[in-house]
Amino acid sequence: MTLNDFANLSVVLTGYPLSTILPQLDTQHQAEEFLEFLQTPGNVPAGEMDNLAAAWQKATASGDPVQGVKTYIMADVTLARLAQNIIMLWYLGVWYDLATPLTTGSFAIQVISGKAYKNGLAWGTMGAHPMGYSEENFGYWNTVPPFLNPQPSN
Amino acid sequence: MSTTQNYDAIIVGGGWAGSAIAWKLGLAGKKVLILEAGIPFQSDNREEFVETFFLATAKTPEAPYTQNYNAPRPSVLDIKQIPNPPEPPADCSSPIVSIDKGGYFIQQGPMPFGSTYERLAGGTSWHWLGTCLRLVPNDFKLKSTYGVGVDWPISYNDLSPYYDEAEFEIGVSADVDEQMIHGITFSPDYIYPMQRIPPSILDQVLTEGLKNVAIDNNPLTVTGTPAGRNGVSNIMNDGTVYNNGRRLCQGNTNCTPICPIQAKYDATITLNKALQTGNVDILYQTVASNILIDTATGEVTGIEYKQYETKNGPQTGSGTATGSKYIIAAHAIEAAKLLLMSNSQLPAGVANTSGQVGRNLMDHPVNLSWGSMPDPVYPFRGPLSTSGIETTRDGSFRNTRAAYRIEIGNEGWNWPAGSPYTQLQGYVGEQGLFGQDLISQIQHDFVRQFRLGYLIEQLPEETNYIVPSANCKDNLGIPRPEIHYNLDDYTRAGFQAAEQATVTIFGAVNATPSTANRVATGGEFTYQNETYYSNGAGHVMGTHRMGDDKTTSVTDANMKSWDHDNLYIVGCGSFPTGATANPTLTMMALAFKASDAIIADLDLNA
Repeated sequence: MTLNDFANLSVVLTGYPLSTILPQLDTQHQAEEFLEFLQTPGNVPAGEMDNLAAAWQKATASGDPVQGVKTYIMADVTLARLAQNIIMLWYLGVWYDLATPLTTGSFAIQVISGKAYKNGLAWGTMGAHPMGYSEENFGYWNTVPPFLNPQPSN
Repeated sequence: MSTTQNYDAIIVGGGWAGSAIAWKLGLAGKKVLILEAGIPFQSDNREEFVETFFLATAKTPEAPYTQNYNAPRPSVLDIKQIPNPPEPPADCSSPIVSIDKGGYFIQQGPMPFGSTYERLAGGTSWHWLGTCLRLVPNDFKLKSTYGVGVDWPISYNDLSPYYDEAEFEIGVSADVDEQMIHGITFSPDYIYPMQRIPPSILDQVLTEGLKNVAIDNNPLTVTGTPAGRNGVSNIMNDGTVYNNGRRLCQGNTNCTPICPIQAKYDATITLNKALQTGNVDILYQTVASNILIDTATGEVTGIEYKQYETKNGPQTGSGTATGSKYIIAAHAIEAAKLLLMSNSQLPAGVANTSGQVGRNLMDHPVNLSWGSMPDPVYPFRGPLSTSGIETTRDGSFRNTRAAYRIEIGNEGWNWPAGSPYTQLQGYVGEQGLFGQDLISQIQHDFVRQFRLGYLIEQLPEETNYIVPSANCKDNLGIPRPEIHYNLDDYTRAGFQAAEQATVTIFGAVNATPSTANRVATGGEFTYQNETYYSNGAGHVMGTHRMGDDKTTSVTDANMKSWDHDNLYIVGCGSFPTGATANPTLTMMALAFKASDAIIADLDLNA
């Protein structure tokens, strides 16, 4: 899977814009780290990343990538499970056992890296920061966050 | 085997109380040696600890500090329900395997003891929340006021000047006017070093929503919690602006298990100051293993220790530390264990004529209530807790049931239900949400999460105790703590009252109780046909209590052993009752009180 394809798929899976997932001035290289992890033998069963890439091609060819992901990825049990793990990578930096269903209370196998933890999207989505990694100033918690990331579409 | 030079004082433990006493003695020109069981602290350790925390799949209070099999510590991951009869611990012949499999404690039940601690320089201050509440005057006289528990051998007024001193050393942010509840008084013109920490949005919502609500005739007033974290400095009475050289709190929402920027006090600060007096030496990776007694005079003559180089390696040295005075500041469980395992000359152990060493083990069992607010309160921002409800800490109900304080949590359902991890697993794995739908769900649900923690009082009970395990040892061959623990009906009735308070509070603010699965704590119990869940608060108290009567207490009010004239035993183990506040500030105040007594003792003998 190419970096661009992975990034564009991640945009649909996360709901975050490409400017977050693969910014032009990319100091974090978070997408690269995740893709490298996914393509390291042993982390994802052989062939699954190729299947995901092929499904993504079909999803984009339909002209509506969100509907395409529903049709070609989320409707396929194996690819949906992999997509769930990719969402959890982006949102929390954690990786779960692909062989078991992701359910409330699943134990993570690993945190990909400290960087992946700090870049987790879950925190900014609710106007917060990763626990243990605040770049805010004293007293910020006394007032409502200026915005939630990204802004709700409505 | 080596013997140290003759010091004025030998201190076992470079944690909170040990560092405080070492500093005071060092300032007074006394020569001090600290024996610290764990690893030293260097300035780059914090960054390593933080990275270890980031990489931990379970973000527990212990997560930043990896297990040290030569000075092991318990982990909350090992706290489980205990079968009846308890199962024997796994693989006790192989300490490392055994600790990895079943945890450091040998839990004998019937309930598991839910609290943990750290064993490294700075002690459990490494995973301290930062709460610096004073006890209320009636906490010191529970027996004479309410007919339960015991009285302390000191009053609030006796401790008040030491509270002042502890608050200055820690650097406490609080507002005097807010803290004067249930008879708490302050010295004339007293000011805390820093202004109160600004309240979170949740604090503000609860303050407003509970304005006209009372329980047991106590109004549910929300007040700022005195915090050992840096806020805006006050101008002190001598005209100087308080400045401890540390940074302002950035609200990392991670006080436990580690403040990444040391805006929060920890005991390495005072430990470093102690070492800088030039009068204090420290031996790291040096585990006290036996207290030697002159049976003719009753005096302590030395403390034997074992040393190691790596956390899972073999013993590499041993020795005996000698001095005029001996101070055990090793944590409530470790101190009691050391006293009891030093039984080669005194069969019942050192300082144990009363039979009370290791007994009266207490915590503040926590009842967690969590739910969703009707409007966003934006959790996961700011310090883990900035306010609480303290008005519930005293009243005539203490005749029959435990008091509690209510800690308001700023970390959503993180503690009770593993948020945000668990909810996200459900959204993504079970509901199949992705993209904008996922964002909308998070932005609707997570910003409304809140939780309350009721810290419930526990009475001293002889049947709650720790002893050195007869069979299970750590990697140095030192016995591990065997714990017997339960909650009595007085505390259980406190849980019942707490749940009733939750109904009142949630009703007043239109909150919806959560139906999320709770994180398993092992602390499930029933009381009057209702099920409750107890969590550890990390407040380990009572195992070498002080008192007025040497037949029922281990030390006097100066924390000097009744049995051994040159032995002091300090820390939260000194508490005769659990009382109604997080214990750390009181423990440090007591350590300063003990320091004065030790210095006076040394000067008398000089």
